[in-house]
Amino acid sequence: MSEHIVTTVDELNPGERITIQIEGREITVFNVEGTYRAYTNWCPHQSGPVCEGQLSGTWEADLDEEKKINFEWGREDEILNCPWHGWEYDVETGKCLSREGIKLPQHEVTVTDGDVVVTL
Amino acid sequence: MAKTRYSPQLSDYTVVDTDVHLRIPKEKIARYLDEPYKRRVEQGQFPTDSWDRYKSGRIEKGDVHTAEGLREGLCEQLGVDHPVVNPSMPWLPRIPEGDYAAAIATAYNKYLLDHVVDEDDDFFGIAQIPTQNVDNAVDEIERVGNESNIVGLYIIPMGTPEPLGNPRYDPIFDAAEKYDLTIAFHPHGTISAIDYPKQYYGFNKYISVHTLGFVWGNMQMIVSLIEQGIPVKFPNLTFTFLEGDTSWVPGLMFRLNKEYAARRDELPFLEKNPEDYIREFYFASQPLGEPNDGRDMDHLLEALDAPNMLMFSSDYPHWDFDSPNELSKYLGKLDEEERKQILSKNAVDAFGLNI
Repeated sequence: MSEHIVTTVDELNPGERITIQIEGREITVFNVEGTYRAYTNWCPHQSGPVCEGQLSGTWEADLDEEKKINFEWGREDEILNCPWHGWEYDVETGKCLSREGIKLPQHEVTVTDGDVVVTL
Repeated sequence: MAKTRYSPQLSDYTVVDTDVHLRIPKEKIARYLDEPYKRRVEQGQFPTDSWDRYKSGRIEKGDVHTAEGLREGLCEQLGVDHPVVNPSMPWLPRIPEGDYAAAIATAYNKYLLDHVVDEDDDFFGIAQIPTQNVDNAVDEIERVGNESNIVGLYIIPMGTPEPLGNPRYDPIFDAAEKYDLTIAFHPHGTISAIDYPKQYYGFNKYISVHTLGFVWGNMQMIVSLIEQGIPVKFPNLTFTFLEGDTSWVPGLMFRLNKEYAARRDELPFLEKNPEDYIREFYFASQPLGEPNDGRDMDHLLEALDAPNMLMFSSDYPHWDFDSPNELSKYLGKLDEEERKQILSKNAVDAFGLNI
């Protein structure tokens, strides 16, 4: 295990991200409304640069009592879209929305004295 | 759950990509048009549809339209050595005016040569042919037929009043055979699905028309070739099928065999089984289906006889492209020679590539 200071809390505001090379891997740290998440910039689909994708919402739907499907656009800024093919990942958990069991490779992030630290 | 699959290192192989598109800005195409079509395109009157392919920017839309762009985005980034590039005006069959469609096709082919194929010795081109008017199609084939790096003809097998195997289109195959150009059929998701409200009898999501359109386009083209005996009439022509998926091809071969065994007298000119004809066609790998269990795709590729019939393709830079990483998941079980066939040699045979 190794610890790496990647930025400071002042330099990574909510909604922002930073990508750095650590030990030959591209790691992206996201500030998700004050919580930090770190993922390898690698999509399990076809190895695309997933962490460079847009953050957006997505469509959700439910069935009402009359069996009508009601669509609603929600979860704005919670979904990371891989720019290659649009695979959707929950930016807070790294879980793929369309493929069960698929997650982005995730790394621990801590804050020490104002430094944002990624542990590999 | 299936074990992790072994994917061989593709940098060890020569890779030919048999389906590479361009995204040419309208103003650059306009330069290759005469009036009044020039002003028409410059003013933005250009066929398209309203489907949101790139999910409003959530899938990145690369603006690749030069040899340098392909060299960087496809060759260096994805490890392709030899792209076979088509100029890809995807909505060509949707232009009702035959002469305008022909002018557009010519403009695209001229651009392809000037800015891509003639700019890089590793690149090859296939010229797009309009199908609204057979005379125009033959004229364009005659115009490009002697270009040394034009190795085939890109034909969208949809949008015509009858399937392209109909004898009305024989002059196209005749001209192709004369110039030793391989036919590359390439379907398009929404040619048969006009925008809302007439959409495949009511499908109203892009996932549906995209899933069906590409498969349907190539499937009906194969049936038409067999029905009309095109491989019998033009025995020196090679037929390839791009971007149609391949997993259904074995099923179609076996079904046509069954049908022919019972109904031979409807096609008495055939000299062998439908499967035997189809096994002489070549199929591009993209889009490779993504089963829950990869072993199912191993079986499908084996039924297809992939080492002899499959050619790698990416469909770069379209939204549903396949990186070579996707195909390499299924190459681990094959021997060296079989991998080389799929990654380059089948394409060399199909298109007569000089590499």
